Amino acid sequence: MPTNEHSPLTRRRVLATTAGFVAITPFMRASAALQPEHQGHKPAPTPAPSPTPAQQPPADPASHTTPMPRDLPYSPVIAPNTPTLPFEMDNGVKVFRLTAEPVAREFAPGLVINCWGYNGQSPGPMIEAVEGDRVRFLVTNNLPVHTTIHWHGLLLPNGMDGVGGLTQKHIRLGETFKYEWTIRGHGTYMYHPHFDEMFQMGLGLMGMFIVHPRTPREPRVDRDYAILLNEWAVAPGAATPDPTEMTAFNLFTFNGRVFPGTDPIVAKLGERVRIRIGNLSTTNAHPIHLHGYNFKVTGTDGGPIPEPAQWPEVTVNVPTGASRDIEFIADNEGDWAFHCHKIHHLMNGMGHNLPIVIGMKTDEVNARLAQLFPGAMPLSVGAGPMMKKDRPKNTIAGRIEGPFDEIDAGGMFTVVKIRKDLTEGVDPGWYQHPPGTVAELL
Amino acid sequence: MGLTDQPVNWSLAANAPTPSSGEPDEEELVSLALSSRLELSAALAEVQRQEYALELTNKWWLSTVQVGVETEKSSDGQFQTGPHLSVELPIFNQRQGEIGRQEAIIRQVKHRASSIQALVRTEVRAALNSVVAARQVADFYFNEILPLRRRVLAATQDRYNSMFVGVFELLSTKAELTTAETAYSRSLQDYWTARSDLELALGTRVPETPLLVSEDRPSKQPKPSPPPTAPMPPNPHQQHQQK
Repeated sequence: MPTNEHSPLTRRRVLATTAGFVAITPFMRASAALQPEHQGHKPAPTPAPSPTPAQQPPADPASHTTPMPRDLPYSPVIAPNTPTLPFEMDNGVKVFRLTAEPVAREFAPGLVINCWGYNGQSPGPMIEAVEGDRVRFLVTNNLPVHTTIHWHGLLLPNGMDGVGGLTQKHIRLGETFKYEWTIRGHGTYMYHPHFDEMFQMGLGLMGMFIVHPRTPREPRVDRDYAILLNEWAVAPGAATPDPTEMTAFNLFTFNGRVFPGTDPIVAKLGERVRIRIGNLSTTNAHPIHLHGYNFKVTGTDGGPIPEPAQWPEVTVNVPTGASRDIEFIADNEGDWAFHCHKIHHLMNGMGHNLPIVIGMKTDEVNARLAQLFPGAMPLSVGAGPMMKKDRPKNTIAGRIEGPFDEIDAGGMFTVVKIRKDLTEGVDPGWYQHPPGTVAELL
Repeated sequence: MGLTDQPVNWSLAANAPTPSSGEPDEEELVSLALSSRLELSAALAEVQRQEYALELTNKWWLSTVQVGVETEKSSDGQFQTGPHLSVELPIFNQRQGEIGRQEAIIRQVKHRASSIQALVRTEVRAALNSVVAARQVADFYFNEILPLRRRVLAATQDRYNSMFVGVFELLSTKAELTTAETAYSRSLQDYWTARSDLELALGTRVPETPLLVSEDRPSKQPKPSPPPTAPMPPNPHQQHQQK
């Protein structure tokens, strides 16, 4: 499909800019072929079922460093690697359109996974609304199976809750359902199907749903990020996840990306930063750890936590089916690791039940292995000799060259980049440490 | 089969050759066997011999005309010598018994020769079917299983190098390849044993040419039209081969 990733000016950008709610235009470049155009108030005709998955163009790492405009009714949230869902106004109702469909999602360069998603990607675009908004969602099903959408955590009339069979009929192939209600409360919510959850969520149907307070909370944050956690079971060399897996997952994503495919989280020195973390993983809770800071958990999908009830943390455990908002003042410059602390969750697809050779005298065995298997790596303690080439197709090593040495990370890992000087819209690159502040060889 | 009191000097090839790409036409092989099998030649010679014996039996005068010299001493003491001629006139004994017996013998040896012919045909066709089946098994190992096993090993080594699987899985994949290679060797052995059985049934070497390229070959060459075959009782192997 054509992408408009690098075109400087598109109709959507013009529309988005004139709509006045998107100054972070790069996030609006959702896959053009899949998002209905939003001019006019007539509902778009039902799209034909797409036989081939759409491909979400990879996100631009520098895209989210644009500052938030202060003149908006709310401060837009930045979801790295994920667009924000546009809307149109219809007599005071915010009208959003979501299409559930098969998509091909690039988790990182060299790793493309066949998912189910919304509007061309998994997770689907982030929804933003304001407490008290009248919202309408037109949800089209282009999947080969029935589906529904459940608005996870939102306070709404029972018939809008989206539980297939219990509160509504299933949405069948090609059908478009309308959900409409007035939003109560505010916080970090999510959306996902509530029909055959094992397959549909296991294949990636989910997204974030941010509701801003009608009256901004103080202290206001300067940068507000949102990350949705998910876990996948994809056999090495394959591209389609196994949604029936319950425990042995091997890919762990921030917003549908694995490191090094995850965009960094960027802030200027002294800014107040909020990171909203939602988890719709099949099974796991994810203890998300930020280096270099202690932060406070300021909200859950139940709403804001009163200031006296907040306590400092360096790791916040996010159970599946829950969200946590953390906030900190970016007063410590540097490149700070930000990751799930279940250490198997910051790897890219490595096996988890390998024979252990610690303590073995491996020299002779290695010599015989080399005879039997020319080109095979020797037995080793640790993942040190792991080959970067001759890998199964559609797998990646989860190692990149860092500023000092190889960075051995994958999965749920990204870098929080705090800088004194920040050129908005430009990836700040690796942190330049002041002399004498880096651990060094004696 | 090389049974001799002379010393033999056989040597084994280092590797069993791969099977030929096809087998000679069945009817040609049957014809070859019918002209090569010694017990069949012997049976046919016996038929000839008995037919000749019948001819002789029919030449009634050969055995009943007796010519000779006869001397007898008469009562007066004189010897009288004269020629002797004795002829059996086929009036009462026309040798029906002897001829019938001889004709029965002829029928018997003819039936015996026919039965040997039928046996030769059966043995050739059965041996040929065994060769075809053994070649198909060996070909399947060579063209399908071994390449797949090698691919599995290469892919497993890639997975091992990427630490998706451990060294034991790599070793067991290698063992599976070795098992497949062993099975291929056994299938070659079966093939060459079947070829020997075919040569035993033929009574001579399998001619090297011309070969029929059967349908299961990957070469996809057009198959020559099958030659007319003698009426045969249905044979499942035969049907399988010609399907």
